Amino acid sequence: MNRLFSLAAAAALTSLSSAHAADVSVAPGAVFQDCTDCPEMVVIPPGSFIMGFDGGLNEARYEGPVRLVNIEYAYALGRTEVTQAQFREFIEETGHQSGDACAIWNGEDWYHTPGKDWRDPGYGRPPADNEPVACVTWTDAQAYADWLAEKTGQPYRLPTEAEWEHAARAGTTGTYTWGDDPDGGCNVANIYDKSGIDPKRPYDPVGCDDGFAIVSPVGSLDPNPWGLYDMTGNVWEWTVDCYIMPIPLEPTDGSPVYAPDNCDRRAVKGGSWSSEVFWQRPTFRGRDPEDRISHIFGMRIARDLKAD
Amino acid sequence: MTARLLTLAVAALAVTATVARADDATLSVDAGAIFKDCADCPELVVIPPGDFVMGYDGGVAEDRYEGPPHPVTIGYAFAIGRMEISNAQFGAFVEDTGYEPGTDCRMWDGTGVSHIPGKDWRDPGYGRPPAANEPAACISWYDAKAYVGWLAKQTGQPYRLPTEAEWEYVARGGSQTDYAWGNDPDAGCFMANYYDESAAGQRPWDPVGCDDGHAIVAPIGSLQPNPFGLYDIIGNVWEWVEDCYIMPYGVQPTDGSDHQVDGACERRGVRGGAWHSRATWQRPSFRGRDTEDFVTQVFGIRVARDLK
Repeated sequence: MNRLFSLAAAAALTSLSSAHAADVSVAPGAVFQDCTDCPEMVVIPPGSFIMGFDGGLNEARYEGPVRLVNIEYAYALGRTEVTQAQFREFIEETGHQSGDACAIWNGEDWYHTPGKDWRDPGYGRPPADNEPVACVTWTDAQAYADWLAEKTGQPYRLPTEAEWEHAARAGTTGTYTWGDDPDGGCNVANIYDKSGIDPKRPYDPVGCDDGFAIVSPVGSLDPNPWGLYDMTGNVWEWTVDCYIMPIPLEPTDGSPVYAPDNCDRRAVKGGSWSSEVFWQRPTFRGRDPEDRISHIFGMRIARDLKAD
Repeated sequence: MTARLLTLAVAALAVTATVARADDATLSVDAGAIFKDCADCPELVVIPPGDFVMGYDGGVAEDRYEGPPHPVTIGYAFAIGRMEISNAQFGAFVEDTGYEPGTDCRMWDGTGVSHIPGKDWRDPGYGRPPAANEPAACISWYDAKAYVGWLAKQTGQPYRLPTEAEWEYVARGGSQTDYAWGNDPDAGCFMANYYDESAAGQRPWDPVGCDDGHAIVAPIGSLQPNPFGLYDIIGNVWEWVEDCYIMPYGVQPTDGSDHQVDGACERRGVRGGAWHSRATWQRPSFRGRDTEDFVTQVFGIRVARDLK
């Protein structure tokens, strides 16, 4: 009898949960989720943009040469950064051993603090479920993307550096994504601003107030023109690209410039709530080892619209 | 001259629409995926193709016979609103278009039902203003059609009302029982805001023997979703369908498409019961039918959309 019931229940479940694939016509700007708890994704249009900047902090951080990139395909990018709750589901389901001894600013230096990891990224309080996950290494970010792809059967991955910059610019051409005024971004970016001034930081806050002293819940500020939240600020976001400087002139089609399995440093983009404003420009290229762990590093997910 | 100008303007609009559609991308998802065509658009759920038996060999009266039961095969995936259309969503339509929805909404006056001058979707007679996240109510079939027409134009996507067969298929959610949740009329309070213990005393019929926690209308998505991930498919407000009502079944197509008549349609189908409806009217096979201009406190909208 039990067996009969199980069979009936299994049949009922199969009929509803069978992964029936469907093709949906959508326009750029459409938002979707592959499951109720999956990250919200935004459809990003194809397009051309000028990538890079003919300058930088110094010679070692040159952001050029500038080049025209033409992304001929639509793709999807996380509407927000991956949250604590989303990352926790991954850890709980897989038992993935994430990075630890997260680097936290202690008022003088970035100190790899024993016991600090994504569960306690050093805010002096537990992180909230709707804040971006932080203290995430590139290896952790890649593992999350692989898990989400496996779980949903859909082609999730980390964004390429070109895809990231295309979406961060969202058609704009200024020094910052909001224009040329460094103090004009507090409506869209949780950056180092009037709220949360730390006199020990060796740089100045911007002259506006975004309302958040440290990290903010994802989506707290205004979206960019393509409907993405926190592309600039909040936490840095890992890309799949291996960092090389200067950037080779090819490829210019949105694919990774160079992404071998083993790579010394990966590109990380977008700045954070504690970063100097110059580092918040869409062209700025963070570059860190794959096992670099910091409480201002998180992730945003990408997805191809169709599997190959 | 005016006519010619108008023609040109219409032609220009048509071109714009074509251009918008040319931007469309094809997104592959599995059934159960959730999407919306713009940030403020209604959330939709992708419904898989499937078979079910539509109808019920009985009814509350001879003239409300719900049979004969007949197999229906829906050979296509489609999308349907995850929730009923909210006041905020309907309000955006009214504001954008200046559309004038039906008035003199019919409601309970303490002893019976009557059309009350001055009552419409802005004041559906709750004794307080309706909330933005409650379902739009006092909606005629014309109003529902105007809303989906506007949404289709806004997004360039094929929005429409669900057909009666599609509606019953998604409401059953794989079940073939009397109620969407089984055969016990008193067991639906976890997923349906209907006439229950918390609503008791407002109407001259018996409440069901459970408590859904809502005396009148509930904010959309307050209770549990059905197996397809749809909220409030039973209860809260009735939902208009595309079909022209004819009883008994027999002339209707069995492929999920709608039944229409040549010339004027006397009554349209309306499905799913409402927060004040007695239990038998909440069965997924129950067929409400009312005139296209009928405005009542318990009628609202759920939208459907073709995937391409």
